Amino acid sequence: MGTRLYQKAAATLLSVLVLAGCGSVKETASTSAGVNASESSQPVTVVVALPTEPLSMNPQNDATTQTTNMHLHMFETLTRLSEKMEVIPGLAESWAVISPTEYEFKLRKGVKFHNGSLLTAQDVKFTLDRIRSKETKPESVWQSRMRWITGVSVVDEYTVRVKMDEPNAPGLSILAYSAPILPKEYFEKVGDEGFNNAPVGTGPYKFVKWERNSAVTMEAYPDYWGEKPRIGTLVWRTIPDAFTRISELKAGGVDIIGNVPPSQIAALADAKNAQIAPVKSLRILFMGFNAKAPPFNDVRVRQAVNHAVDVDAIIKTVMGGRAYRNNGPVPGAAVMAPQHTPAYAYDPEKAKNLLAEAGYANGFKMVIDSPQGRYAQDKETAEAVAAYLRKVGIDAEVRTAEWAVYWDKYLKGQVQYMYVVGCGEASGDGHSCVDLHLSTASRGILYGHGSTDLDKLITAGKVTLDTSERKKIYASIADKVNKEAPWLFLYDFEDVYAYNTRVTWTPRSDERIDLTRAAVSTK
Amino acid sequence: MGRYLLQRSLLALITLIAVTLVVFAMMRASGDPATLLLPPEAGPEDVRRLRTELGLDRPWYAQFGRFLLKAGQGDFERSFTYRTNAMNVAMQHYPATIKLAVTAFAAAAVVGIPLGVLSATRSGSLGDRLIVVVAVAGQALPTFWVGMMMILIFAVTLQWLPVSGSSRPFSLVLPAATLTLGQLALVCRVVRSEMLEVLGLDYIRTARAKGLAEWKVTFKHALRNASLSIVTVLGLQLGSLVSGAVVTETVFAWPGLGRLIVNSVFLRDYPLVLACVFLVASLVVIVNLVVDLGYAMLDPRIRYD
Repeated sequence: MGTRLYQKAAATLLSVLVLAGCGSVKETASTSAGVNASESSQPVTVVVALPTEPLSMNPQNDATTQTTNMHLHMFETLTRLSEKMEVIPGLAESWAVISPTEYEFKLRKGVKFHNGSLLTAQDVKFTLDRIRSKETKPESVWQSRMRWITGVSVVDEYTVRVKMDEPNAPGLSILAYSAPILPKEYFEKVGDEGFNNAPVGTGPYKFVKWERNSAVTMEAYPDYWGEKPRIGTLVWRTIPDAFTRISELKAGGVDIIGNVPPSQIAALADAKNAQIAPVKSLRILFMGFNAKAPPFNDVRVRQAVNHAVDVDAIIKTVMGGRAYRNNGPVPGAAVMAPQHTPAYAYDPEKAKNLLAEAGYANGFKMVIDSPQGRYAQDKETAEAVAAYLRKVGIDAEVRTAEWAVYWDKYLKGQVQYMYVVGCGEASGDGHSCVDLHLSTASRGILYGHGSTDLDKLITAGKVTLDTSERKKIYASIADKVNKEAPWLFLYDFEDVYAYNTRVTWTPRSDERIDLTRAAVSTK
Repeated sequence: MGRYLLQRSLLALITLIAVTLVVFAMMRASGDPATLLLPPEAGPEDVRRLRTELGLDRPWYAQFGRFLLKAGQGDFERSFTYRTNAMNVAMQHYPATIKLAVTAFAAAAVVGIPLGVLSATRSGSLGDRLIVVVAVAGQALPTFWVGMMMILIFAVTLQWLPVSGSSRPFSLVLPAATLTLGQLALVCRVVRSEMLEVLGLDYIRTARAKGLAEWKVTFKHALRNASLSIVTVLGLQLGSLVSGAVVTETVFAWPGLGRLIVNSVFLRDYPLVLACVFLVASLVVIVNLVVDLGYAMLDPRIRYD
């Protein structure tokens, strides 16, 4: 009697759980059979796992990297960035520098939006005016990034001129990701909410559906003006947890994942259907000093810290070898990255000597403010740095805070000693991290990092249009910043992607998963 | 009964306002969202303009008053991050939470109550000890660990079920099973405990002495008398489940409200947090009311005037 009851209870439990699923047996996903890479006619689906949910299908309302990544399959920009971060034609087939502060773009003819209407210069003007306007409701999240444009005029149906406040060499790179062109007539008809529910662009993929907090589906657009994509359907799934993303990849539920933590790479080693794809990121991590107050207002103390920390060892142990040492402020994968910036040698004795010269022979007490989990191994890196500082007599401890609290404190200039920050060079150019963190017109002023001389160099880098001249300028900036040491120089991240071996695809440094030219193999 | 319902409705309204006020105050104290919402190159003027656009430059009582007034008209303002009506965003995420919550609740009740009764009526036996061990383990094991093990075993290794998500066949099974385990453990232990107490009372001995069948003694007399406490616990569990199981939702990428609330707190999306809390609080109030009314059904001595 007792045994039968137990059996019934177990059967009941199993039945409830199985019936709760309600549906046919098994299998996954969205991945149908693969096709020969050269064939584009058969239906193929590729599923990408993203860690965060898109906030909007209107690219002007969501600037998160992951969503921009997805948007750039449905929408297109005037220019594009190649895999090497060089500016190449997009919707503009060519452009001319009318004057140092005015570009003229010639648009491709015959480009159709997904609703069948043709792209014209009016759509470009509408998009760029809307993204810059303070009257737009809601105001575009890109507004502050497009402030350098002062006017947009239509010359003819396929020609548009863009005026800027001053020469802006990175401008073409910024246009490549921040201003996808929207259809003026359709947008004005449906409004912001309507567009969010049914977005229309010119990209190789058109919107199919958005299951909130779950997945965005798009399919190949048959009337695309350019090279037709070889993958029929893309599904962008929101999977916040790294373990779950990896499990999905192993189980065949998704084809591509990003943000694989160093600690999880080994878990993929036994996956027969997956391989990892590391790439040097355009994101740099550094630890800034508060150079406005003692002790870090003394350059010798800042240099001492740079000598006290073995950055190579931190890369090897904390980052599992998945980072690239960077001794300057320009991410190594950026176009303007200098060839070589000298590294501070790991030399604890020299560090102690410098501290003694500066009057800190007995060291001092300090706190490193750090976020936790905002950047890969951020807190762990800070703790490793603190340990090295303690070896040279600096009594350092790490204090973490929830991101919003930490960021608020940082932006208000309230960090007392050192902070941990990453910077992503989204345009691939090399100017923005330098400008943002070291210019006195921007955050350079927060912790005493900027100077008139440095400002002049940064401005020169921006307004000089000749590429080789710009490279020399950024090399000078890197050398100067390296010597003045406003930061403890750390590293560029290595982004690790993992993907199903049936997909032929190359990762990019700018954190974009670009599948417009990817393919699926049947092998 | 009518007067009772009216009183409870008024109390519910006061509860909702009080909960909203507390959450409102805590969110305001946690920091300014304007800097989080803007890209890195935004300057002080951009922050000031955004704060004005979002109404954050008004006094807190003006902000709260405006929120209440608009909420009364069904307008919960625009989410700072999604840039669309906050209640719409919350409502889009809620069905998934309800689906998971109700499934886990039902499974825990359907399985937990009989197991608890079995354990109590076979107190001291091997079966009872096994059930207690499983119940304790179910409560002790962290939800995220259980979820990860479920994924590793049933999805990755055996490939019987999907790893995550909500749109594929049988996708509800693993997250529901994960949640059910913890809930089941609690239900089972409460039922066992209450039943053991009731089974030791005099009237149970009398019932047996009168020659009643054991199943009648157990279900008609013992379980019914133990049911008030059981229903209370079940009500509390359901209230907890409908607020969203953020760990389970994160591990299984289940598109529910729990994760939305946590993310919106981190992003200081005040309208969205308030809309979600308002929604959850309303449901918890309704669940509590149903539980209270259930008492009257279970125990004829309880009357509401």
